[in-house]
Amino acid sequence: MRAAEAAALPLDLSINGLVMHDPAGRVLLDVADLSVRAGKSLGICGPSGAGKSTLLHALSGLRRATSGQILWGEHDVQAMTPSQSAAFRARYTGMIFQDFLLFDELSALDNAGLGAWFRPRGERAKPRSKAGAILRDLSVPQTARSVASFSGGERQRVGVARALASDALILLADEPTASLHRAAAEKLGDDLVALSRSGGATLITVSHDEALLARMDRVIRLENGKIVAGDAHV
Amino acid sequence: MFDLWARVPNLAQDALVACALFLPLGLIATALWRGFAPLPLVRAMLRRFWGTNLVFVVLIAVSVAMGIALIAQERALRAGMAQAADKFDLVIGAPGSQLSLLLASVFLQPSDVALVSGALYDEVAKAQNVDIAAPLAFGDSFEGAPVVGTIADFLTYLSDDRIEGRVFGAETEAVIGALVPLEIGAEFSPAHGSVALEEDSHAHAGVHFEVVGQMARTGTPWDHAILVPIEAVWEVHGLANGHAPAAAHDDHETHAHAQDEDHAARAPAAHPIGPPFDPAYFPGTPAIVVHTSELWANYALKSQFSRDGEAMGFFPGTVLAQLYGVMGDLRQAMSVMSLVSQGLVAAAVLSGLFILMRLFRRQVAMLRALGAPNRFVVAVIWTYATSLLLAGTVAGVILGAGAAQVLSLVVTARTDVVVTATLGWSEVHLALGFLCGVSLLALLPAWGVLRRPVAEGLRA
Ligand SMILES: Nc1ncnc2c1ncn2[C@@H]1O[C@H](COP(=O)(O)OP(=O)(O)OP(=O)(O)O)[C@@H](O)[C@H]1O
Ligand SMILES: [Mg+2]
Repeated sequence: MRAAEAAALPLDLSINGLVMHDPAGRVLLDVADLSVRAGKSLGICGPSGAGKSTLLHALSGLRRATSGQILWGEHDVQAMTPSQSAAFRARYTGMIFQDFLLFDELSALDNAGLGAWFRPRGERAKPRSKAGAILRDLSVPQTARSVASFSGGERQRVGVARALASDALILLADEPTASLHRAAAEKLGDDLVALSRSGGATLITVSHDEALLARMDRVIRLENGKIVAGDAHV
Repeated sequence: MFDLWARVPNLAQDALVACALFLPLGLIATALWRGFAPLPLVRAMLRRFWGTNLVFVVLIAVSVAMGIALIAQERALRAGMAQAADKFDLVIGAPGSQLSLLLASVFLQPSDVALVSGALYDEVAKAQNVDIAAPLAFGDSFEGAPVVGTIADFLTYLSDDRIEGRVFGAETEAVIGALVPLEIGAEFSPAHGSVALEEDSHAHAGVHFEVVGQMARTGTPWDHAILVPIEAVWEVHGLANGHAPAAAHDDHETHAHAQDEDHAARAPAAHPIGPPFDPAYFPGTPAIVVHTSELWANYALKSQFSRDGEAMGFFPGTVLAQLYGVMGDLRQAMSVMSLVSQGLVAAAVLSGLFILMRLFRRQVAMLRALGAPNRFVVAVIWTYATSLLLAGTVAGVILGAGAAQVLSLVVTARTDVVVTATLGWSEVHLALGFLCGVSLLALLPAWGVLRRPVAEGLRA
């Protein structure tokens, strides 16, 4: 499969027989079958230590499974070399973290357009202007001051803008609203779902936030690495 | 290959070495930066822990400065000493310590040296190719300035004829070094002893000198000396004055100095001064400074006047070189020490970088989670480390040059040997070598960061 053709195909997620162990041999994750069609959203909930973050990392190729397959369209992220997997993430995925993980010394635009700096000179303008546009959509203050002075809600919206700036088709969010108070969490949930829908991105969100989960097309519950509730197919 | 290298001019060689030391830096930067824009993140990292970063820069700067100041100062000191001995091609004295004689004659350090006889002086003065055979007489001082008895020709030679006023023409006249705090026309009485306040020092009552000239700056201890006719020193100490009493006035008429109108008009007590001296009335001199018309003649004279029990001829330049040779080990030890200290600082900086990398771990993991290629991550970390190194090295070179300058002033003030430390290529090479070496090592922490799993970094 050539890259151009692969890019053209929708990035449906399908997981087959995914098993993951910790170094001691304990099973961290055991997902026999899970699929999400491109553009849909999936919520993952479950108790602490259930393996939610682990699953998210496996989905982006950051962690290696013991066995099984994770396919995004035709891309088998578990079969990639580290540099292929980095290129895949740069091209297709955006990540949102619970504690935002911004560079405090940089402005909102620099943080959101971060990905441009590891692209060739000619390809930098587009993600940066896209980052600016998303920041505007999310009504993040357009100032040169560093994000250190931003509120939690503003910071997480910068994080969302960073995830979306490179036209990501896969959005992976790990507790995106956990550090925010109720109102900010509500607003962020709305923005996140709206932006991923309008961009046609697949959104996978790990969360305890009932309001956020309610906005997803579907929610699964993970316990001890296994899906214990919810529809495995959307 | 070596032949070819030897034919490249010195400046070009030094510049080439400097470029070669810079080359790895340029190559790494080019390779790492191609297609990326790491600088905004580097700036962010520099601002993040600016206090720690500043400590790094100061640490590097001080260690580089120490190395540079030591090298520059040591070279300047050697150059200053050589310059001070420049006019002293050949010195002939009584057998004994060459070093003592060198200190006494070139550096005007009081030391106990034996005298050579008038007969020997006469032989030296009459030897072939000898232009100037200057006897020296020490022992008196005026307000801390040594009063040295010698002959007029030596003054002209020592100062390259840059004398304001004129050379002395009579026994009561004196010429001062550039830094003696007297003026032309001033009168003074020297005291016996090298320091005016010494217990056994006493003024030579009734002996007065008039300053008739001042030599231009020579950058040697002689800038602080007062030069008088050697006859005056001898007479003050109750010795013969080098000339036969009966012939005194005849000599006066025929002697070259008689041309000096001023001299002719002086008091009747005035003696003829300067060579030739009568060996029978020559009280002896601790050192004869010889200047020859031909360079090669120095060697012949040196062997001619190196006689057991009678005379010792030596080249002050050679003695200094031997001294450096002996001190060479010390110098080597010093450079090893400065290299070791720089190595230790490099190690400290590296381990500091490893620790800083732990603080940046989540940020780096985030970059990699976003899909930043390894080369970009390395570019950011390496550029960050190298900026600290570069800033520290540049600051160190400036600081080192300043420190060497201050050291030079101190050494000049204490020895009267003018020492001027300037930045040379060896210092530049040292600094660049340090920069190049440590920045290569700075790839290690960057590489270390890549070895850590991203997922682990994200949860840290
Ligand atoms: N490298 C590892 N070695 C051993 N155990 C691991 C490793 N990584 C994760 N685990 C374990 O795997 C389990 C799942 O971790 P994970 O972070 O996925 O939980 P989670 O569902 O995200 O929990 P939380 O809601 O608290 O974030 C935990 O028990 C954790 O201790
Ligand atoms: Mg988690």
